[in-house]
Order: sequence, then structure tokens, then C-alpha cells
Amino acid sequence: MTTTTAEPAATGTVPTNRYGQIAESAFHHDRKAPGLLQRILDDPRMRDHAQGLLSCVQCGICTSGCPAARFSDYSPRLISLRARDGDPSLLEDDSVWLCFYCYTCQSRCPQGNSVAVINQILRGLQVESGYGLKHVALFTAWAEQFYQLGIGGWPRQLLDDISEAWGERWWNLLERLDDLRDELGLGTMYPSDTAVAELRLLMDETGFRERLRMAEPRREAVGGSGTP
Amino acid sequence: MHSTPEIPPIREGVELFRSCLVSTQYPGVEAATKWLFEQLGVEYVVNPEQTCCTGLGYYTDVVSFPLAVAVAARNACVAVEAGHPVQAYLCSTCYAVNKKARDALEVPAQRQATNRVLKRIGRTYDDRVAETVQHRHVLEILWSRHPAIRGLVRRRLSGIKVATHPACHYCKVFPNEVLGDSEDLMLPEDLLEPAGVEKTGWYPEKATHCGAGFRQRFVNPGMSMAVTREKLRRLAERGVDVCVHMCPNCHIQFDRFHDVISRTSGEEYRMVHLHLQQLLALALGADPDRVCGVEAHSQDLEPFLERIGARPRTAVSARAAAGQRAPTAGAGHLPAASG
Repeated sequence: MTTTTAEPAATGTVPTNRYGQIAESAFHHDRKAPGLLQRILDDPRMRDHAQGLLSCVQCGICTSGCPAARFSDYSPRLISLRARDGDPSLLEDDSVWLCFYCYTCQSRCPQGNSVAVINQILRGLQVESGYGLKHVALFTAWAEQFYQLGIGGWPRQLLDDISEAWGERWWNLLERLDDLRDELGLGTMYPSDTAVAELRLLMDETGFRERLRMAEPRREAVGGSGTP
Repeated sequence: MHSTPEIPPIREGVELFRSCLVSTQYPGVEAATKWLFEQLGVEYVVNPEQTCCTGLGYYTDVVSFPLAVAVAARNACVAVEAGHPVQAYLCSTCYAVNKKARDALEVPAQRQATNRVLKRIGRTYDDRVAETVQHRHVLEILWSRHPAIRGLVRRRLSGIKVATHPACHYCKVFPNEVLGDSEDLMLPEDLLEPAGVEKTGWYPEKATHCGAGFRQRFVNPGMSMAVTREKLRRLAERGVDVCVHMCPNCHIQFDRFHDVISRTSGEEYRMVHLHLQQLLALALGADPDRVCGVEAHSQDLEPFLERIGARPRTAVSARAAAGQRAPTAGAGHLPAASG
């Protein structure tokens, strides 16, 4: 009878004994992408929340007060968990787009974490990679008017639905807006020409037009998600 | 008795920061604010060099954070340059975005990066700008002058029950900077106290947000309106006559969807939605049309305006006052029910 001595598994190889395999599976399943966690922590908006993310205890107070969690499958608690793990699937996860940005999660978190801010960072990364363009395409109308006039506008594609819901009074308001503002003694609502000219330079300097150009072709493909 | 903490009076150097949603949806809110500033002796300007804050673009993720910060830094520069550095916000999202930028600009690397962008327009956000500019919600400016309100009341609002819808972007983004309790804001109700209103104080769902959520109103309207409905139900349970607002985006959500949600759900919510500045101006005797611009509202405000004496009484409301029918406020008055 030959006795074999279990040889210690070399680093990086799969162990042959059962506990070693269990440990391998438990320690190295595909959850780590430290690059993403670091990108989130390094964002200037996380300055007051980075320690909060790292010390999240998964208590769920964020989810309990979250209006999106109440009416959809979105869970801020799980976003926090996955962000801490640097889960790369967050970069192609549509649920981060269900956040209302109401900051209830942030204002109630006992650890100082902010899932609202994490969502904002993740959405920004999704837009930059191109994946998230379908989610912002609808709102390029706001941006175009912002570029032209220095004040944003609403998605034109939705005007019919909105006016039907909001009724004749609202439609009349749109037509009467300039007169009403005159009657109220208000001046123009538009910034000066020099202000708009400066604004355009800031937009050019920060790559805003490029962002718009990327989103433009996606506009037709816009749709909702998570509607109850 | 009020619970809102006292702050020193703000009398001058105010820049009334124009809001895109107030300008285009409820211009009467801006007019009522100006009227109140004049009544309360607040010296202010509207600065044509100020641009939109980027808030709607930033919170629909079209605008990047570096652009939002650069625009805020530029607006701070022009406010300081004009000698009116107290930026007074009509909209809670303008308030939040500008304060977010303020914090980012405290980080040296961020300020350097922003100043590289601002260089293109020949401006710099330096220590002088940072130390001079101030960020205030309009309600805070009014609160700083609140002892003067009592002597100016011309229409008592006795028997009118008001509740606050606390704007999330005022209460929750910087909860430590809120005037009062971020979970139970009393600032709007305390401002109305001298007019003799009945306060609601805390109620279930008080801190729940309006349901707009920027993209959600448009992209996920079912989820959006479900949130709004929860709040309307709680306000109705408390018998609220006026839900008082401090952010135009919330105001849009409640005023414009009130009747839609009521009709669809078969539930009646007997209340009207007004901005604090509109209701306070009405209490101080302002004209509902020429100062408060009530025409812009989707709800029918006429029965409420009659009730507080801001409109001549019609036969219907005179009968109600004589006890034949209990007066109620707002959308509960359907024309069919009054004949």
C-alpha cells in the first residue's frame, strides 16, 4: 500500500481536497473587481460617503425608506453591497436607473453612505461606456435647449401625453406664458447673450456636445422599465 | 409656537436665482417672492448673467458632474461680481446642485480642474468667491425676516389647515444644514403661523418624496404616480386644506397630477397645492392674479380663493357660509356638486 502525501497546492492552482475546493469557491467566486470600487470611492461626490460605503452593515434602512424599492424590484441595500464588492455587472445594470434621486437613503443612513450618489456615479460610467445612452437619450431635448438658450426644455416626444393628462389649462398656459409673465411684471426668463455664450464655452470645454452626439441616435429606442 | 431655529436677518445683497421650472410653470411663485421681499424690506436683484443651474440635466444624467460644477462656479462668480452674493433659490434642486458644487470646489484638485475650464471664459473661482457667495433657500430669507410678518397680515387664514411637503433636495441632500428637523420640516408652517393657520405638523409619509424623481415622471410614470398617490392619501386623511410646497418640481407633480390621480383611483383628496410664497402673499393681501399667477395652476383654486376672501363670494359659497353646506377647499368642489 502506497501512502501518498497530500502535496500543498501551489498558489493559484485548484486544491484537490474537499475543503480546499470549498474554500476556493468561497474566496474566489467572481465577485471582485477592485477597480470599480476604487473608481466609486475616488469620485469627488463620495468625499463624505466613502467611509460610509466601506462600513455599510446592510441594515436596509435605505431600502425601507426608498420610494423606488416600494414600487419596483430596485434595492438600494443590494446596490451598496455590490458596489462594495466592486461587482462589474453594475456597469450594465438597468436597475440603477430606477432611483428617484430623493436622497432618503443618504439622509437616513447611520453609516453616512449614499446609494443615491453611488447610482449617480454608476449612471455616469454607463453613459461614458455607451451602455447607458439609451437611458439618457430622451433627455437630450433638455440639453439642446440648454445649449441654445441657457435654460433647459422638456422632452418633446412626451408633450402630447403630458398635455392630455394635465389638460387644457396647462396647454393654455404654454401659449399664454409670455403674456402671463408680462402681467406679473416679470422680465425675460432667458439669461443674457453673453451669459449663454459663456455657457456654451463651458459645455464645449467639458465635452458636453460630444455626450449629446453620442446619445442622439438612441433617442428613438427609449422606453420605460420597472413600471408597476 | 414655532420650532424653526432663528437666524440673523438677511436684508441685502440677495440675488433671486431664477429657476427654469418656476419661470416656465409657475411664474407667480417668482412674482409672489418679489412682492414678499418688497413687503419685508429685502433688497435683491435678478441677475441676467445668471444661467440655469443644470439641475434637470444633471439629475437626468445628461449633464456630467464637471459641467454642473463649472456652471455653478460661474454663477457664483457673477453673483459676487454683481455685489449680490446671497444666491436665493426658488427651487430646492437649484439649492442642492449649487451646494454640491460648493463642496466639490473645496477640494483643491476639483477647484483646479474647474478653474482650468473657467479659464476659457476668463473667470476664476478663488477663495474670495468661495468665502463671499452664500446659498440660501428663499424660505430661509423670508424666515430671517419673520418677526415683521405678523404686522403685515391682511387676510387671516383662520380655520385653514396647512401641511408641509418638505422638498427632498432641501431636506435630505444636506440634512445638517436644514432650518429645523429634516424629517419633520416646520419652516413653511411656521412662516404661516402669524396668519392664524392650523398646522398639521408631522404626518405619516411626511418625508416621502413627491414622485417626480426627474426621469421617473416621464420614463416610469406608473411608479412615479404611485408615490404621489400615497402622499395625497395621507394628506387627505389629515383633512388638509392646503399642501404647501417649496420646490417647483414637487409642485408640478402634485398640482398637475392631482385630478388625474383622483379620477383614476376614485379617491377624493380635498386640498389645493400652493407654494409657500403664494399662500403667504395671499395672507398679506396680495392679488391672486397679478401677484400669485394662479392661472398657471392645473387645479381649480377659485373655491379656495373665495374661502379666504381673495375673491368675491359667489352665491354658492355664500350659501355655504350661511351653513347650508360646509365649506371645503380646492378640488373637492366639483362644478356639478355646487348646482
